[in-house]
Amino acid sequence: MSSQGLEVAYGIYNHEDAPKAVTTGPRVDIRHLNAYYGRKQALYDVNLSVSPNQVTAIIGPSGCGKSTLIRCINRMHELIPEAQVKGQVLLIDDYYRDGIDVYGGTLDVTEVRRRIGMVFQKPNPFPNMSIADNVVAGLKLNGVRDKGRLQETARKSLERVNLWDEVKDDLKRSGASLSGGQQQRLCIARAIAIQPEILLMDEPCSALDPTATAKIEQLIDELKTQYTVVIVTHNMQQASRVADYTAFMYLGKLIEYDETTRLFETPKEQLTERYITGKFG
Amino acid sequence: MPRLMDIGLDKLNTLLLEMATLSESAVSASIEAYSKGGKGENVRESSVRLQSLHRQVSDLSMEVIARFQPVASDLRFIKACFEISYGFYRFGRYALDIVEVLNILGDLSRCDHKAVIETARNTQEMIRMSVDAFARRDVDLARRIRKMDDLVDESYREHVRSVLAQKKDVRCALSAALILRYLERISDHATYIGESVDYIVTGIEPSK
Repeated sequence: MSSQGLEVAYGIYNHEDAPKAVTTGPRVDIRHLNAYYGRKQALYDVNLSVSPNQVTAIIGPSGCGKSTLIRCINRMHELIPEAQVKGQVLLIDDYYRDGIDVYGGTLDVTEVRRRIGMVFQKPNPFPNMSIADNVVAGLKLNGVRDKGRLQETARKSLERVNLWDEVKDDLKRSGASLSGGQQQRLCIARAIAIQPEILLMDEPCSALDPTATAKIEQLIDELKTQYTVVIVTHNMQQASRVADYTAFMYLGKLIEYDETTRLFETPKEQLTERYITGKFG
Repeated sequence: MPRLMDIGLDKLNTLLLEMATLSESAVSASIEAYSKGGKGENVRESSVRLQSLHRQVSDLSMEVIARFQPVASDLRFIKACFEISYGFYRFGRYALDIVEVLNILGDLSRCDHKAVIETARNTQEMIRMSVDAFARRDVDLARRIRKMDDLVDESYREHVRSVLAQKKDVRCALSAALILRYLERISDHATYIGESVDYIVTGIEPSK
């Protein structure tokens, strides 16, 4: 685990010499976002600036819109029939320094999802593919055929998610034959193989046991050195363990967004206080 | 619906209130022994009991943290419990130190008690304020304790200078100087308790 991640997570750097948050990496700026399922509104005027190379957690009770929010970031929301989005999701990186609206029409939806990768609640490796083929499936879809490059990417991605040593002798095994925790790390390897800038995770540990969860959390902390991570979790302890910033949502609205240590120690909003202390929800 | 964690938090509150009562009476008994020539018989017992309660608060706080991972006002209360419990325990320990002075230096009934009594009056008022502020989570009252601490500090410095200037009776001067010092430390801990109450309610940390 990176030492910086640990120190920030534990608040050791809460003094004047603390390293300042990186502000130059890729990030997402959500502006006046409203989302709908048919006539039912799921998000109300959400504004949220996701910090680069940091982990941002979104918490809130079931049905509050947290999954809808991250699915809007990489345009997964529109896959649902009659779903609509209004507002802007700006992707800001070295190339688009002023930001480009992922809904603006300039960026192709495939390109949006290449730049903004996603990992889902239930590990979903392609069952008919080997471990190695699972990792490079996205690259192949993007037309990469060079065998050497594909192998190299598979190795690097599996190393990055701390899975290489566990599977290197049997890369031709089916991805579905791995344990739940290994499958989830395989899915993260698949997501980062296409070199995204932002990594979205929708309750990535909810189907995993505590040991597998700890490995994924350690991995998330390591990944933030390279990626900007947004994670939806219903587990508040997980948010407090892995996230630098936390957003609390309720009934489709963003109620409070702050540094994780501050939000969990001195929340500004009564709704946040009541939710995180288990007094409702 | 009450939460499982509330059982632990209520128990912590009860323990702290017991410590408050016990420590307040221990300090009063020690000052009475000084001014009226008693021996403060129950003070040692109270001090031992306060130390035991302080350990119980620490153990229970750790258990609540381990079992429930408290956040927000629950977390602030538990963080503050350590400081508040330590403060009450120290009240008892300084009361015992005062009684020890009496035991070592013998009868002090002929000494001029004015400096100690005056300072003790303020210190005991600060103890009462810290106990009430904690019991009622009263931030205004908690914040007034710091102002009184400045008064006690000033009075402590003045009185120590004046008792040491009286060279007639070393025992009287030494006992007064030591007891004044203990009272000044009690006042500091009363101030810390007030700051902890402020932190529980507002989240403003004492150092900020």
